[in-house]
Amino acid sequence: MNILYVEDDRIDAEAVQRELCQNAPHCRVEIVATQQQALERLEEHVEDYDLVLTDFQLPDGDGLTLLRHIRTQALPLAVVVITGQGDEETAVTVLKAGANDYIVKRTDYLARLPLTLENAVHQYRADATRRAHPLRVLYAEHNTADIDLTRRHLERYAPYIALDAIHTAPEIIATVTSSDATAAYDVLLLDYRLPGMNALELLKELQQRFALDIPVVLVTGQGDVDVATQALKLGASDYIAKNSGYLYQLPSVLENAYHRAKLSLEQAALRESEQRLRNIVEHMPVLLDAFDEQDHFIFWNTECERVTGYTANEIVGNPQAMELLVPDSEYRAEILERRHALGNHYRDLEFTVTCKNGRTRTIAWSNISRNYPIPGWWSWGIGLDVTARKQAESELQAYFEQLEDKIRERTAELQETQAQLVRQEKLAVLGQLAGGVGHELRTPLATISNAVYYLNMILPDAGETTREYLGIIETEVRNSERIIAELLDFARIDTPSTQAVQLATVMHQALKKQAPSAGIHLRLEIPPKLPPVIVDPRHMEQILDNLLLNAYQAMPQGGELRVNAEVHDGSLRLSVADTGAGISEDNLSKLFEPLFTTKTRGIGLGLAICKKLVEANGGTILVESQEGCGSTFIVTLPTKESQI
Amino acid sequence: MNQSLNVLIVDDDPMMAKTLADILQFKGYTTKTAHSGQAALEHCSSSLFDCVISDVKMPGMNGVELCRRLKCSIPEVSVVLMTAYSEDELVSKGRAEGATDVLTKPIHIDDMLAFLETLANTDDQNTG
Repeated sequence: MNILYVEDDRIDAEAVQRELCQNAPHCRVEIVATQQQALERLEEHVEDYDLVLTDFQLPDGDGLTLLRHIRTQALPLAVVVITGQGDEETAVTVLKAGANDYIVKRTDYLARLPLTLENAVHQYRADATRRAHPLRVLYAEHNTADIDLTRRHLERYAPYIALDAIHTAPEIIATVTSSDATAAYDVLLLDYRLPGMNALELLKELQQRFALDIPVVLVTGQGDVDVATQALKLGASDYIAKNSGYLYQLPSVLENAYHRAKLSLEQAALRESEQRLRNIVEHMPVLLDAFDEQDHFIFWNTECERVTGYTANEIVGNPQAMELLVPDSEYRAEILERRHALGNHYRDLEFTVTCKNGRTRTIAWSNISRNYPIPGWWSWGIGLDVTARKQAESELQAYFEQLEDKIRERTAELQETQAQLVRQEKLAVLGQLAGGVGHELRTPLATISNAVYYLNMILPDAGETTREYLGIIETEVRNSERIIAELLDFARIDTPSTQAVQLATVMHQALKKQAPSAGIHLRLEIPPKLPPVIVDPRHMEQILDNLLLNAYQAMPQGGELRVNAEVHDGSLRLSVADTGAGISEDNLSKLFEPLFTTKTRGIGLGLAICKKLVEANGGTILVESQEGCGSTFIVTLPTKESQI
Repeated sequence: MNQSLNVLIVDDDPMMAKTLADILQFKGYTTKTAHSGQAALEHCSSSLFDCVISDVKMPGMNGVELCRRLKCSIPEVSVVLMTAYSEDELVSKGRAEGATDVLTKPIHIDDMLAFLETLANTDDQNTG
């Protein structure tokens, strides 16, 4: 509170300042010595002050002049005047001039000062509020003398009451039932004696027919207690009897009636608002529950009932309610533990609740009661049924996983295709190179071969060593020719010209060309009535040559060669199994790659050629092998049936 | 008997031509070598050959073309073409141009000798 203190006595001024400083530290006091100084301050900075405390006796005038100046200029300031002891007249004068209080400079005045100043500011502010919102009273009275008297009295003693007067009952009805009457008047002051209609009847009419919510104060004659009682029963807010001096009571009666009516309106609004909030909490489509300190439910709204199937009657106050909602004791303990660990402060904690029908729902609970406590509710939370969302999420998750699998699968396929392309590219380059080199080497080899032939021819009597060496050259030339033939075969696999071929026939031819060596036992299991395969016979011959050669080479120490054929899914399946050393797992995957070989001699094209030929003829080739137990090559070839 | 047979060997590889010629000569045939189709035609215009053994693949005129030209000017001459496995198309072309035989590489000398012997005997019968 900011105080401007006008005082010419230095000792008094300091005493007041000390007092306020000690006992009312929120008061800031500024002291000036003269009225003139005070006026100057106010002119410049009136907004800096809440209250002017002035001594009545001032060197350049009196406190009254200052007070009148403040009030005539309507400066927004409370004023308290300090008067001398025994000077009641001055006190009355300053109050009439608009001072908010006065204080007599007695021995104890300093002690009373803080409270007096505080009250004065309050009173000033209340008056200011009243002046800003005058009480508007409609006075129904046929006696104009009474109206005059009342009006004059109010103007003088309660200037904040504005009085309008009307004279007859019909006038009243017309006025107060017009649409803006309720807005125009705060209180209806009703004289009991109205011509034409008795005030009680009028009151009844107003209340029942027009449902007026404007408070009514009835003015009764002296001793009309019955009338007053009836009026109150009919809904009048108050009554006042025309006793002597009743006008002095009138302002407060009117004000009380107004405030009571306002209060009751506010209460009704409050009740309505509370009801509204209660309805929201009770029926909003969000689960809301509350617990007491023992963790028992004390609130369970209709959404909780709808989602779980349990009514508030079954849950609220039921110490076993949690067991109903979470029957699994382990899970229940886990939930309680998590809740306690988090305190009354968590968001979207998902729990599975078992409903009355045995189904489960997932609810995301949020509890913010630590930050927003509600009296009487030890803990409260809201929940959202996220079952559908969770399900959608898990479906989405599954879909994603499926998608990932598919992507992985496709990626692997693409990688395989790419690898195949690279392989084919490699093969093409290799083919060209092999063809070129093969061709170029053929002529010198043939020349060497011719030279050996010539030497053998002209040296019939050559020594043994010469003959042996010529033999070595001849053999190696043959070997070289075979390698070149292989290279050229690989380089040029032409488009097959297919025809129906009996597997048994080509197999017999191949075996005739390359009979198994002495140590190898042959088990040929080709049934007599197999459907013919649709292949290029020359290619078939090459395939079998390669497979047989491969099997023989796998069994240098001898073993068993088992050739077997059968119809499988319309195709013909030929298997060539040896009992040789087998193929290691590492080598198995590279077996059909060109230039892969485990042999000392050979460039590793035989099986690659085989695969190319088989595939060119619409078949497949694969190998099964176990190290130490031999290998089985399985060739599937198309028949007429499989081609349809 | 077969000594009377005149054989021209045509191959762009001189060593190949020489070794073949030496073997045939040792076996009693009269041989000459040429290293291109053009050279072979020139030899044929100046001397009479019973048989021309020619490689198919040669720079310039190839064996098939040589065969065609020879068969035009000297229809009675026997032409043997030597070809690699990969020259299927040329083989059939060669036969169409009247080649008496087509030997596939690698050439087995014994096969060639057998062929020439048959040819000599046929000639003997024809002339005799």
